Amino acid sequence: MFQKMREGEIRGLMSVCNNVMVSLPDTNKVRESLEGLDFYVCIDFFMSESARYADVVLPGTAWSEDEGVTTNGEGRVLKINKASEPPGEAKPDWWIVQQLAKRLGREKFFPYTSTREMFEELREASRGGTADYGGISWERIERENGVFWPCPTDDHPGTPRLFEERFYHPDGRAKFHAIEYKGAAEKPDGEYPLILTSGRVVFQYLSGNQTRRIKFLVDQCPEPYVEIHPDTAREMQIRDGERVKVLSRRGDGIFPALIVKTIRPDTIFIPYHWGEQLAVNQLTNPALDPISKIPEFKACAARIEKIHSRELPILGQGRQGVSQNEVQKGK
Amino acid sequence: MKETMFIDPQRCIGCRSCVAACRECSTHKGYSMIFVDYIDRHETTATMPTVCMHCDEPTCALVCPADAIKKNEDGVVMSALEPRCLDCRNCVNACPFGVPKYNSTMHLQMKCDMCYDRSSEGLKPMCASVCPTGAISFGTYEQIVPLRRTKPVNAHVFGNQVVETKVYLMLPTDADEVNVDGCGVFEGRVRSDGQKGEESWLDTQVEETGKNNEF
Ligand code: SF4
Ligand code: SF4
Repeated sequence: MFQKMREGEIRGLMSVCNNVMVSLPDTNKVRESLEGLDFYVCIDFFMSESARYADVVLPGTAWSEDEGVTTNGEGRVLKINKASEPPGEAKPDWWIVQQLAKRLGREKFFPYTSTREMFEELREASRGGTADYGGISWERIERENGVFWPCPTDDHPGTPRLFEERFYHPDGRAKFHAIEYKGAAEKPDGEYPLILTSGRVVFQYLSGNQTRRIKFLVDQCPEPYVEIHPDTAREMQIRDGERVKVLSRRGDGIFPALIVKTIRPDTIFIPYHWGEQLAVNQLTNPALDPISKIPEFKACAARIEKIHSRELPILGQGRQGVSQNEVQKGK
Repeated sequence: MKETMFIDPQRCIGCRSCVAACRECSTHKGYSMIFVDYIDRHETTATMPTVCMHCDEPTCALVCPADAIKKNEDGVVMSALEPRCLDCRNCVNACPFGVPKYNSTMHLQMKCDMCYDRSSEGLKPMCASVCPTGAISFGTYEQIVPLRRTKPVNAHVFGNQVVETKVYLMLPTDADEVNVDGCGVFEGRVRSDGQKGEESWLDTQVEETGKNNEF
């Protein structure tokens, strides 16, 4: 999609709660895509790195400010109740979409007045399908502490464990597929000898747009770092805590070294929850898995360079990245 | 109260749910009295929760000049009584487990009291109610110990001082006690000679002052 934006095929974008400038690979290219758009509307409940490139920013709501239903990883359908009113001009995402439809003359396709009506439509729409919500009502969810889908009828108990009797293939059996190992699209070589993998830390959540505002969490993990094995560090004479430059074919960033034996000597790790010059996704490879279409966040080729202190960015707020300025002061 | 806490560091995955739950309590909102630390991040990702061990003879109470720290009839060592506490921080320095912290703004000694308001009514302390792995369990000895292959230990040897605690550490050894040697390395080994050295400062204190910390 972002490729198509750069090629001019896609001219406009509306994003809902999506901080692409942090969470997509190759953020330098993502920036190029966003800057080339004719029009970009960003809906989010906090100002984000991505929202800075938008023509219009619409304040949405956090999950606790709206009511609705969500299905978790174990297949349990849960009800989320509203805990507080959205502040200021913030509106629920669904309301924004509906108003847009109305003003674009497509009101008849979005006739809802509440999230409950939307859920009722989901029940109808999924009836008879694989993920059948037909028998799940808000009252049942409250009463039964969540209902497991599929649940086709009001008197169906729900399905706490899928595939106990049969799988969805016509013969009722599961199929095993042997997958040939192909490796990552970009393999380490002489120029970029290390494998860079990115991931999460327990102190930050997703693109960090919520958790980077909470002092308690920022105190525990204020910035990304690069995990390096002691053997690799010794070879390059890198000390623990020393800021080093990590480079890939797509970008580079400066990160403090965390020297740990818990990483392979041929691999380095950087957590991804930060934006701009702190984003590991400046470096990651946007190549997609051919089947799942998930980008190769977990492996690309990189190298480390020692840097001279004069190359260090100025320390302080600027160094800590844009969104850090917005971290709540005080408690 | 027959229940107590069982801390099983092997099971801890470092998710800090316990810390998040502890911070929700209205008496110390926003501050946790349980700590989760990396044991040695350079070597391993292992983490361990630290709560007050609720010592039989609490060092924190012995060093408190204002007699603000009390052990109740259930063996739970309560947080310092606010009107008595002088903010001298003796307890902070004295606790062999490094548990109490002091929060000057709130005039509050930050020490776990096993959520006594909850646990005395049979509810699990906040941390134990959320820990997804059983690294922190709350229950009776008979309930918890048969579920584990680890060994419950509640004697901790600091040099010549043996500290017995209400809270158990679950250890993967045959040791009957936890041995902490001088340089602070946690060894969990059995004392081979089996004998005690000279009497510890703590024991002399208990004998000489006759100070007991019951309410
Ligand atoms: S562990 Fe520390 S704070 Fe808790 S009772 Fe013992 S000495 Fe006091
Ligand atoms: S909740 Fe349990 S597993 Fe998570 S950090 Fe605390 S003790 Fe460890």
